[in-house]
Amino acid sequence: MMEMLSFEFVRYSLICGILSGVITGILSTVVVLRKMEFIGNGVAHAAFGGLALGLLLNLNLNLMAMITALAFALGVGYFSERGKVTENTAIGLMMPFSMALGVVFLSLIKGYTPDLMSYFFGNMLLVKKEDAILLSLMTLCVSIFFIVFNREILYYTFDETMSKHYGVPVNFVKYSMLILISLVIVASVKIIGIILVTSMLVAPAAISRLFSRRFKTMVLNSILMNVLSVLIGITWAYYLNVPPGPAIVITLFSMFVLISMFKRIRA
Amino acid sequence: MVDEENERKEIAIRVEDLSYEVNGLTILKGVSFTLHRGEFIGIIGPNGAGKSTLVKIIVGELRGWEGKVEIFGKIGYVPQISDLDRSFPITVEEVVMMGLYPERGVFRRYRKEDVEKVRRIMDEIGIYDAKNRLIGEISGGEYQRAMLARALVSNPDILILDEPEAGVDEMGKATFYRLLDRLRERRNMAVMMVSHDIGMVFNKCDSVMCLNKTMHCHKDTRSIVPEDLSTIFPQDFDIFIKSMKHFEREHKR
Repeated sequence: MMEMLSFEFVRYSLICGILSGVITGILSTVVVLRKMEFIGNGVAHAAFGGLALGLLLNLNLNLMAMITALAFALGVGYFSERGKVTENTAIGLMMPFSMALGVVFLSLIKGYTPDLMSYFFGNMLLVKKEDAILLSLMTLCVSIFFIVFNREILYYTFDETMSKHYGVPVNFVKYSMLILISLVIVASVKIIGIILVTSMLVAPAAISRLFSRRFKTMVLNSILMNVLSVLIGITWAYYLNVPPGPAIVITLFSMFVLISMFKRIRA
Repeated sequence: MVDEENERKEIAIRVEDLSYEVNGLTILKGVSFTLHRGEFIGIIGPNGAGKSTLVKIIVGELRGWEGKVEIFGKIGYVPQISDLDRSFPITVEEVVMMGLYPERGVFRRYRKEDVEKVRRIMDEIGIYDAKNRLIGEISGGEYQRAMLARALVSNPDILILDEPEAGVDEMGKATFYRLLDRLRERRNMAVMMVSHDIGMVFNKCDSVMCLNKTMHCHKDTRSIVPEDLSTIFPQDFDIFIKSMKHFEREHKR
């Protein structure tokens, strides 16, 4: 273990993995309970449109990805509210639209067009100090938001209509959640990759809801599941010399299967 | 029409010439009525008659209507039973606590006395023992009583119930309505109930409103005649009358 930690790239990948685990663990509770499991893939793919526009106009790609994520979050919020569709349907509408725009933008670029898809498959072993700082800031923002508005988030997630009736600032919570989720996804995709982001946004809450009886404990258990999967996944990936991202995804899925089986046997 | 005695009672809800349209389709037209404190009004009508729309307008969920709606006092609202995620991690007590949110708002946490108040109401409603159970684990009857507790926790002057009998077995319904009788006596609330359980409406309510987009009648329950109902249930009227034991019994007297 100490030998493994003596490498800087392993330390950074562990730190970024744990930070991503905490941040996506918190958000996954809302993603799963609001049945928005599609959002991870949705935002990441929608960012393709912004990246392509960035390439076409020679703008900062990270900034363009963030702006696209923001626009995506606002669009999902607007269509799910005014268009009377579910959030998942709004995501399904916006994602191909943004990707289609991306393809059009790319086709307008003259000469060499770089492979944008590599952007979606981040590598945990290549993370840098700046990535860790960015993830730390995002973890702080999301944690503060959840601590301050935990009651409002619970009510909005449980019953949106009656929350409005009781004066809960539903639109503020809804848009804030969508914006935070979208920004976290875009920031994390570059570092840990689309597959791991999707898994970390869905699996921990799916596991913890099997045994959590309170919203707060579900959030804490989701964080715990993600952090455990990062520690276990990176460790066995290091010793078997396999990529850490897929190792974490396999660990999370195995945890879900084992806990489901344990619950069934106990029942 | 409404009892003259009511004129002396305190008004809780006054609706005048209320109309509501969606994309040119009439949902409600020219509905007018007054509900007083202590009075129990039952609203009946076929599916699509605009009963739930009327409730949503009164509780402030719908906008874009025409006419006049005046509310005198605080409303407690028990909505129609919705599709519930049975594994949602929220306890019965937390759901009832939601009713106190308007009194606390965003940055003010619930206090010890809020918890005590919620538990007192839950005890009164008979769901205290279920306080730590998940909302999805309780029976239909208990769920409906939890919704009632949530509506009552802010001490409303007006209680509005939208099909409270839906998804509740006969025993649960009987308990619920007995409870409602007791609460009305104690709290002098105005109660407005939309229901498909017409027998129960005739048994429990002081007045009945027959609604089918327009208001066909609003009468003291004892003065309702079969013809009043035939206007809102023209097609199924014969079958309907046969199945209404309560109604027939009342009218044979």
